[in-house]
Amino acid sequence: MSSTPISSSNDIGTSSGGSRAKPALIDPGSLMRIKNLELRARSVVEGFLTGLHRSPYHGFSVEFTEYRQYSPGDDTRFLDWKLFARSDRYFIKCFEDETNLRCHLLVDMSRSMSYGTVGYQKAEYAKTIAATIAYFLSLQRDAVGLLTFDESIVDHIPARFRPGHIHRLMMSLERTPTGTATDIEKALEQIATTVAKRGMVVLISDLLTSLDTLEKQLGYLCARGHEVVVLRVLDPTEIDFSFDKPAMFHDIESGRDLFIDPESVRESYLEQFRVHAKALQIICSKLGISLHQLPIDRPLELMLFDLLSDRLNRNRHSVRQRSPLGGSGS
Amino acid sequence: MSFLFGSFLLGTAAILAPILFHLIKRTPKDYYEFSSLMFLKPTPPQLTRRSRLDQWLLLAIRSLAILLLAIAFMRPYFRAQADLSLADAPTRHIAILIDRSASMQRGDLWKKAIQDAKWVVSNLEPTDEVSLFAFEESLETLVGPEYSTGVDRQQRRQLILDQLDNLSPLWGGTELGSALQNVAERLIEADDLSQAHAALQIVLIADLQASSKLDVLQSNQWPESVRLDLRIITPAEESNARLRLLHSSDDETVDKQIPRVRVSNALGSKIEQFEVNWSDEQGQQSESVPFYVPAGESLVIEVPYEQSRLTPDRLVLSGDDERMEFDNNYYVVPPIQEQITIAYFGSDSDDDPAGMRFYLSRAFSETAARKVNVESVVSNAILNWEFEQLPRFVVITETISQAHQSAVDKYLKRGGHVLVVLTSEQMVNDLGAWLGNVQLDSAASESTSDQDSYVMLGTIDFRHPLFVPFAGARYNDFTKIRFWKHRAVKLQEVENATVIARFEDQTPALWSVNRDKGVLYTLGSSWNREDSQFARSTKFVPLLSRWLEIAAGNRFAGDSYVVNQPVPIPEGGETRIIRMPDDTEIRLEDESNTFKQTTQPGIYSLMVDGNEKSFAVNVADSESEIQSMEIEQLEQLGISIGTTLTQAEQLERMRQLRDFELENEQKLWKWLIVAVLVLLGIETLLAARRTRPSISFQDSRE
Repeated sequence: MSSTPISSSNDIGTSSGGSRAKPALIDPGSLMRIKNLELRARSVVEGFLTGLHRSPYHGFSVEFTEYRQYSPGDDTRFLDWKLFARSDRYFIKCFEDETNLRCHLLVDMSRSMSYGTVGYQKAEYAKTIAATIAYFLSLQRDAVGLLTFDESIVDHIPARFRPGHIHRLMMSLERTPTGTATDIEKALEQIATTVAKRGMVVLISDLLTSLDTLEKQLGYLCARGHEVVVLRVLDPTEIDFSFDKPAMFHDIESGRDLFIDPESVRESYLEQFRVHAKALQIICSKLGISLHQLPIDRPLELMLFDLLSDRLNRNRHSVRQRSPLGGSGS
Repeated sequence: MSFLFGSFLLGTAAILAPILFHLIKRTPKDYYEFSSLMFLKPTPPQLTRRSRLDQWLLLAIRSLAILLLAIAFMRPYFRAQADLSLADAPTRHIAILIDRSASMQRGDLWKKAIQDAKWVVSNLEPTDEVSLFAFEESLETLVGPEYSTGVDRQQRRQLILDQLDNLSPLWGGTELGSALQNVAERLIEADDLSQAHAALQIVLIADLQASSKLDVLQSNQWPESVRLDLRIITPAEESNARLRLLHSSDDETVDKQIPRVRVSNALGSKIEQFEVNWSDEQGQQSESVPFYVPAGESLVIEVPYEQSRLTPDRLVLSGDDERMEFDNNYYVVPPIQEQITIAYFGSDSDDDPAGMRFYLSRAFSETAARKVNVESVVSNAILNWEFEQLPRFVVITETISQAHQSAVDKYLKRGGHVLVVLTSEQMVNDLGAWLGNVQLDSAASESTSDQDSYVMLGTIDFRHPLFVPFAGARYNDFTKIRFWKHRAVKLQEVENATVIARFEDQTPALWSVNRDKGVLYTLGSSWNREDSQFARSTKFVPLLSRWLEIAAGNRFAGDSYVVNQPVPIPEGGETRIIRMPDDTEIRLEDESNTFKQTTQPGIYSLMVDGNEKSFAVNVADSESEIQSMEIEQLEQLGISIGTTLTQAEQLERMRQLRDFELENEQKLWKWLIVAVLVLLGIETLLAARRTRPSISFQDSRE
């Protein structure tokens, strides 16, 4: 891994893509004013693709073929007879998976996602992320599925690639209202039990819940061979707690009211928030999951760029350890 | 300006509340929604760090509102008139009533009572009138309420203090009801006379035993204007027992006679182990009998003594609380068997069952209390009956001589009772004139009917004292008595004859004639076997006993009395002197037939013409009670319990009343409430104006 996947909104200008001209990035505020989600996603992806020509990287769908020495028990259908004729040795021909990437987008629609102080809500931002990824992948003819959840599963669209699927997906994202509580475990469990084929799972949530059972559920997904990416969507005030006046604070998820003087509690809030984030990061790095923290005022192209570069790194790394039947790519 | 309820001034302390609220920096006007409070802890309300008050105007308005509210509650008013003077308030009249019954002899009760009374006197207001009464069974006025004229108050109080020093408890019972009623009436009477309209108060200093008598109060209305202040004096000791000698029943034989004593232990007593013994005047004592009586119960025990060695006159209880000894002696007249003589005029012998004496002498068996001797009077005997040797009863069954007739007449004159039994028609003829001109009914000659024909008693006057005991339905059956023979007489010429019973044929069977103080009874038949079945009937013995009872008449009905109980004294005799237990002697008036000065317990002796007869006087049982009466019992009788106000207090009350009236007329508090409402309105407007900008800011932010 070349760099930590966590980056914050503050380093928009100084990140690896900082050398690019600023006007190339679309301001998320203006983007969110586009009502149509599909249009919004297309704007992001097109902007991204135009910038991609200058990118030193060449996509991530590289094909690999491999020979492996035959061992008793292997299917003899896959023996390369031509190679046997040449070398008088049995080799098994290893194929790439024939299907395209199956990507599952898990979007948190709980009440806490309806919070936002920059003119739009976290949920809006998360939906745009999901739409962008879905659109991007559909351009590459990959299958995309969607699962929206709050304290229960709201909608589940299996991963497919067919005409109109992407439109259906966008519709589902658009109409999904915000629920009340968050239950990530249930969503992860649903994916783990219903999706047999390995693929990519993208969890888009603010993860402002207890982390007790998260590790187990994520580990379960990883163990089934899924590639898991966590995109943590946060409002800037949640990161720095930039309130100044004492006030009644209303928990929009539990409905609890507390009188809080920000000046006196900021230190402890930041400390606790940091501990929570640290714990989350430890869980993710332990399981080999990429974790991206996305403040909602950050341009979405950067998110897409981070995601792809991270994936490229991962693929490079995983080529060396490829298993005979495994392999992913699109 | 004055205030009715100054204590509401404390309400101004509530001004601190708004000041405190102003200092507390709690600003709930800002309201933020936040995604999750999981990393936040509530901040406690704080005082502003600078401890500086802002919003001075609001604070001032709120404080002023609270201040005005407090003042409104204090009910301010303007005093206009001049003050009242002491002369405007009524004076007080206090009657001190001291219980001097026997129970006040206990322990140091009397000392405490006197101390209490002196305390009351010394704590009187200078203008208070005071009087002093004491009571036991009767009320004694020591310093009356009417005494006031001519003597100034100070002298009067000194007089009361002197009287208290000389006062001592007596031995009577507690007539609380009549004493209270009398004192209340006296107070009202004195108040009406003097037109003082004073506040009337009785201070009762008593031990207020549960057994005090209150019946008078039940039948009378307690005057409302008199209040009763109770000063109950309770003994420190809580144990007391009393004893009584039980009268042995007549059935008992002489040999078995052991005096039986009942000992009652008062409810709530702590001591339960006692001893009882006999004692005489010199202090010689019989062997004591120990026993155990639980509190609130009584026990009957036998206390024997050797009659040969001791002639005791009192029972002594020991083991009782030391200070409760006032009721530990029970005085008893030394038990002496009464010798009763019946004079019998007749010639038949005592062992002849055909005669009448045979039955008469066997009708009265000897008991511990009495022995009846039937003395036969020989026809030529000279009779000389003196006082105390007089026969109790005279029975005449044959014709008596002139001398004997005059002797019997003399006996009748002294109140004697004589029964003449007409055994034959000859006797009717002989004694007819002496009996008051009794004549044989010539029409119906002596019914010499044979054995088959008989007569029974046809009419009996059960209202006559002689037959009163037989009046009940169970006893009034005289049909078993058959008379074979009876003397048919007519009484038309007999003066004052009262026919008590008649035979079936309407001839008189039994009649009485009053002769001076005595009574002469005549029976128209006899209890001879030949004449009737009377002697063998169940009515014979009771009837004779009843005759003896009536004949005993005005002798001592008993020999044990309670203090202050009038004792009936037999008449006759030249000089009658009563010797009191303390050896003082009282000569009785000739006419009086009761003795009322039984003021102390002990043995009293009546001496008539050198003969002496004793009776015992004891403290009433009720005085031994140690339980106190419930005060509610007095309240139920309508007595208003409590102290009347002193003149100063009355004045204060009048002043308060007048202040209330003034305040009620002026009603300043209403204007203050209006001012408070106006202030609160201003405060609301100001507060709204100050909070609005922040709310709009909040709205815009959301």
